[in-house]
Amino acid sequence: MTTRAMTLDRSAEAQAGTATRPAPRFVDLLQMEFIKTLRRRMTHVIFAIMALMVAGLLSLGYLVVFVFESNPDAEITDVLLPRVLEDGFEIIAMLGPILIAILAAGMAGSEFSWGTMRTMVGSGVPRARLLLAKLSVLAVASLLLVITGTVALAGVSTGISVIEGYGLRLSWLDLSTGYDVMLMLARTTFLLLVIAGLSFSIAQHFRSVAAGIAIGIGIMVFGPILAELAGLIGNIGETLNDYVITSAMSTIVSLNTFEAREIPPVLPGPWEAAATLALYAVIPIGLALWSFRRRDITVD
Amino acid sequence: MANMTRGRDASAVLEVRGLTKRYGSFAAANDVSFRVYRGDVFGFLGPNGAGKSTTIGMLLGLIKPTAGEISLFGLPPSRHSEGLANVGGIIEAPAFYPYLSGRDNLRALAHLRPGTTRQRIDEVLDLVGLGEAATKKFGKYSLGMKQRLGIAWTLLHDPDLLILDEPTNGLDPAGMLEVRHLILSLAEQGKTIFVSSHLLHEIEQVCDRVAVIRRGEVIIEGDVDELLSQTERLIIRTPQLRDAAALLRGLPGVRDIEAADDLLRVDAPEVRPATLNAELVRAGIEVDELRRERASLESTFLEVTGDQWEGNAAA
Repeated sequence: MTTRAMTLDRSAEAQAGTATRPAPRFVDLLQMEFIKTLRRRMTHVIFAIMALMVAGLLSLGYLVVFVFESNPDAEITDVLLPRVLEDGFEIIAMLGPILIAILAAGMAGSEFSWGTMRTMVGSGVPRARLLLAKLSVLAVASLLLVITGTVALAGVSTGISVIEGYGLRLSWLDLSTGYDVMLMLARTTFLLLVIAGLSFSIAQHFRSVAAGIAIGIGIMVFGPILAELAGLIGNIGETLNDYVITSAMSTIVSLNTFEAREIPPVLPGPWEAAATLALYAVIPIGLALWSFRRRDITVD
Repeated sequence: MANMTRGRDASAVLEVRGLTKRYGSFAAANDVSFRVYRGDVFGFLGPNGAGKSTTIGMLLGLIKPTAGEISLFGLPPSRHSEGLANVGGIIEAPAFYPYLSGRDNLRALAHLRPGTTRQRIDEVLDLVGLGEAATKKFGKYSLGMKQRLGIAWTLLHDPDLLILDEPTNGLDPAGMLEVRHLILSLAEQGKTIFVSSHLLHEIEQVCDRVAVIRRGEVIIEGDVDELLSQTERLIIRTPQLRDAAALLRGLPGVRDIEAADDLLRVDAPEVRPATLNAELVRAGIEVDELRRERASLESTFLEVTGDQWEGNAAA
């Protein structure tokens, strides 16, 4: 009896052994997500908009202020490297969250609207691993989007420099300035990561591209209004204002300078702002991960 | 029949026990149980809305069962996702990225199937007849081409078990025939195939075992030949209808006789036609015609449930 039971167990084990195959590694999923994201037209459009908008706004500013001389107090160095980066990263921090919200919502929500999420999950891929791969690609896309804006900014600024007779002007490049630029890039990327994480999570949870875009853009539009309203209701409002996402973003943006500058008192402190922003991303991502692992993927 | 050419062994590749999925008080699947053995072409039949896709969704790990267990390749239910790595499955309409070509879709998704080569991708595209349309964007594919790409995706990693949900949906008759041939050829290569459909005649042509689901419950499960033999009848045409009926009623093994026009429809699954013929001739009754009436799954369904099959009407 025992021998027979053991034989059956071994047979089941042998069958199971031949049946199992390796699950895709995290790096496999990263490659898949990179291919899908890179080949998508939406991605190209978003990166093109970032480059064109940054270049366009800087060119327009240069034309209005310096060619048509609308502001006699303005200094040409404001539009040349490295000073241009201070305002430039502000532009990127304004545009970037909206653009990355669209990309993030598309990466999460489209998988449901196309039905491709069931193709992927039906293959047996671990759900958490899949979601983390998507988020990783989104993080890289956030960084690349900031770099794209920065390169566009640097390109136009160099053009202005040449037009104005200053040549390529590379003398500003030293270790200290380079470090400051890297910090600006990192801070701006962090802002995009927060909005990306939030939009992705909302799109993932509600299985809707529109929901993800709405939250990303809605925050950028209604955040400042909410902060203003909070300011009107006294001390409690001021405290609440510290936790409004756009107030925390403003703090981080205000750090993007080459010289020490005081943060306006209405804004939260840098670390408080960073922690607030991190929570705005981490909590929704955690909830999206939890719900994705638990919820059914039904056929629409 | 399809199973005449194939071998089957007794190990269950897929075993479903008491699978239930409830949405509030509505049971989309209720206590569904069946076994699919290695080498089977197993038909999962049911009218539209019967619970087929919900069951397949649970098999593919998309839907979490409210109760019950699924075992793939003898693995415990806790290792279901490991088993899925050796399954190729599509559920409902095949879903791929509309902005990628058929080939690029498979190249991207091949990362979910470690070890898949580019050569294999081209092989499966050729196998399903999409070799020439491989560079066309999926969004521009016809429904039939989408179905073919879905089948190519299931074959990509050469799995032991294929789960195909309504694979001929949207195909023209020639396309349906091709898919049937493909299923049979895959079965001959030793694949186990689980195929769902609401078309009884389609399943009848390719499957050797079936389960029929209705309103979330499996009402029939078994070998197609055995099921069909339950409703097989002997047709006897004779000018002496009344005498013949009286004689046959007295014979052992004859369960029922229906008379219609100039023929008798005899329910006697255990009796050989030659025996009946000999008895009739011995009694001096002329027999103009004696043949087996091929039963169908539809008539089996009708006999078991007393209901008309709703699926074909929707087809």
